[in-house]
Amino acid sequence: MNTKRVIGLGNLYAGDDAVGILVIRKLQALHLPGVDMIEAGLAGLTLLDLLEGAKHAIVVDAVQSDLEEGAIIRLEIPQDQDQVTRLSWDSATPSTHSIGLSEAITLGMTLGILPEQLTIIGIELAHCTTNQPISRKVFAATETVLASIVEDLRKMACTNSN
Amino acid sequence: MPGKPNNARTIKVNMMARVEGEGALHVTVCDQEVQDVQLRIFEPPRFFEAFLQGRHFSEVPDIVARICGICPVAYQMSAVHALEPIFGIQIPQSIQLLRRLLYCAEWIESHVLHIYMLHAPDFLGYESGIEMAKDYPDIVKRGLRLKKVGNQLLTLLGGRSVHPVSVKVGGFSRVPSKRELETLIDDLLWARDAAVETIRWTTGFEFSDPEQDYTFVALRSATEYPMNDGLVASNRGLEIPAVDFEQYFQEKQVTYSNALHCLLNGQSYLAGPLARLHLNYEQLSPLVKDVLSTTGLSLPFKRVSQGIVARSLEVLHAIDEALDIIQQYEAPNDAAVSVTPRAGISMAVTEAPRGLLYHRYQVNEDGTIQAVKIVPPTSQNQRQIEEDLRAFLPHVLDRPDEEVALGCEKIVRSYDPCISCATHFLTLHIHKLPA
Repeated sequence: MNTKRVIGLGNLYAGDDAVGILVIRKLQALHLPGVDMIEAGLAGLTLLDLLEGAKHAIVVDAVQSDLEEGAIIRLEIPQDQDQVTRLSWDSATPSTHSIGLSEAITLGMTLGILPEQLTIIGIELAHCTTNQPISRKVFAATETVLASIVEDLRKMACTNSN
Repeated sequence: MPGKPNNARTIKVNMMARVEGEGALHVTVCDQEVQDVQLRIFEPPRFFEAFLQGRHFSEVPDIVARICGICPVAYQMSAVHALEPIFGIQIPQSIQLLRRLLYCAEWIESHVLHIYMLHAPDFLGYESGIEMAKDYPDIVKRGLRLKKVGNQLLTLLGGRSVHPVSVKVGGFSRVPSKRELETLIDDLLWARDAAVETIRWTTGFEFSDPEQDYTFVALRSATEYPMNDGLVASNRGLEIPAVDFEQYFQEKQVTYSNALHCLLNGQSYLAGPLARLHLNYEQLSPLVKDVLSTTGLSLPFKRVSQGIVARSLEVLHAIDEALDIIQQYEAPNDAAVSVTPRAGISMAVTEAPRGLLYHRYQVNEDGTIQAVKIVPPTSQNQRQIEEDLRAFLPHVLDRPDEEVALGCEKIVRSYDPCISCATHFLTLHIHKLPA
């Protein structure tokens, strides 16, 4: 695997939770060299395996906080580590997945096994209803996220060549 | 609850952590006596048995894999082993070995996750594996690396680490070359040592739940530590082929749960690693027997909390056997035997990480599925969990509510219940009725 990776999390069949996967598919279509684009589903702990050996990684996922639908949250780890809990699902939402993005990242930080540079991009969702299409504003956000990831990757390439 | 006096106390622990899926536990206590224990699984039924009807037999392995993200291989294995006898096909030994290797991968992955991240925090006094990692970083790293070895093996054989896509009726869609498998040997050798250390670590824990005289039910085989082969056996003399399963085991609807209770002639029993270990000690690899003999523990384990040791032993067995299989593996010429559908009905039981997994399929002459029955391990263990709690509660009723609740949760977690499989969220309610 390349040391640069973009990892998308989510579920194509659960409304706006598809957004992380859709971003990866758009990135894959660009055929950018030297970077792995990975669809990781609901990853959980496996996310740490996918980050192993990476120097620069970007993780994209739908998030549910108190922002407007389609709003984009960007966290740089470790600088923004105190904000990682924002990535947790609302505790009132029944979740079967006790180890989600927030927990996996927290565990990775505790163990000191995360990439040097890890960016987490969260896109605020409106709904995650099974078999319902992605919301218009959330889908629109994919273009903004795509452009920012392409820019990040370009900067990484410049840094690497130095 | 109906008839509950106004001054009855309810203790509620929202979201039971570290179980796969969602459910609730209701305990009713009156005058220091346990009146009722109900493990309530309120996840809606998932209807897999119904929507398999009308599907082509070839679609079954991919559909049933979706029942569980932790043990998809088990569902695939029970499905293919049930369907293949209908079509009268013989599976070559090389394919049987690969299926076993795939099952080893799932046992490693599933058991290690439970041992390190879900169960060990109970013995060491942490809320979660993440909290535990602050004080035991090297141990947690060892667990993550061990789990990864299982993932790698599963990915190599199944095409991806969750919901593998290579299993089909008749064999595989693709089989690995010997060289591909050999790339995993170094990792497996590391994992074997790490599994021995895991056993030494878990045997040092304190097991304080009450001893029970369990009816253990598992496959028993003369040729293997059972995954795909053997008769359904118990420590009380039961020994039956899978075709007779429904004569002895009945599913029962209870009003408070969306998962059926499966009983052996009306009685509870325990399925899973403790049962397998007790019934199949002879089939353990010499290395596992050696390590077990040095722990000071003897079989049968009578405390359900010792499931963590049983899982650790099974992880070592699975790694040892995976190495053995890779060593003797010769890639078959054909990845699968060709299948011509015909009408029939057949059943199979295989050993999922959590215990017996029964599948029955009825197929018509063009290979369309007409009827399906699936009995997952957690529905089999549900009644035994309730009975364990009944045995446990009298020992702790004088303790504070939080302590009682935690004790109950620990017992439930010892079973590594997969509530999603059984139909998910365990909320604990204790109702204390005045005398």
